[in-house]
Amino acid sequence: MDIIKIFPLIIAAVVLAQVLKQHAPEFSTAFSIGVSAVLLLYILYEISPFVQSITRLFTTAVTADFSIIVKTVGIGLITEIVCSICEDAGQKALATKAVIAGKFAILIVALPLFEQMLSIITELLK
Amino acid sequence: MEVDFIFKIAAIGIIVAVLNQVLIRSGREEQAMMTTLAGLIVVLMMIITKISELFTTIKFLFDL
Repeated sequence: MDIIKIFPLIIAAVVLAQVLKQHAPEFSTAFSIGVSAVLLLYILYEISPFVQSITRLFTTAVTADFSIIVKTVGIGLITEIVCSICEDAGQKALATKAVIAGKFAILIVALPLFEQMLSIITELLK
Repeated sequence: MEVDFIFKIAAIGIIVAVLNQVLIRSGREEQAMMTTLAGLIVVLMMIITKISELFTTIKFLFDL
């Protein structure tokens, strides 16, 4: 992952977003969304083999529920993306709704883990 | 990394801003608003394909 490519692009995008905010404010938000999408696609493409090999490694070796942890990371990532876009556009209310949705999504995904933990605890208490 | 996509959006934004100013100064305000809306819709269509690609990649990568 070539951060020497990413960081100057982000700096240039910040300058362009300022120009757009001055003269065409609606485009500034759309522009920052487009830049975020392009940057994230590049980053995800670069880390894709790494994530897939780690998932395969831990799912077979350690526990079959490792995919839950990976899902949690993914949900956290997209929640962060959407929340930051909303806040930059001045929509703090939508940002909090996104955070709430992300929290509940993580809870729902992690529910099997809770059930396993409760059953282990009850077995220990017997 | 598709840098030309980023510059295309910035270029459309600047062109729309310039046209906006020209049309407002020459008194045609409703046409200025329509130009802005048209430019916004074009940019939105471009961005929606990119965002869809992004979320498909995330969904595939994190097994969501």
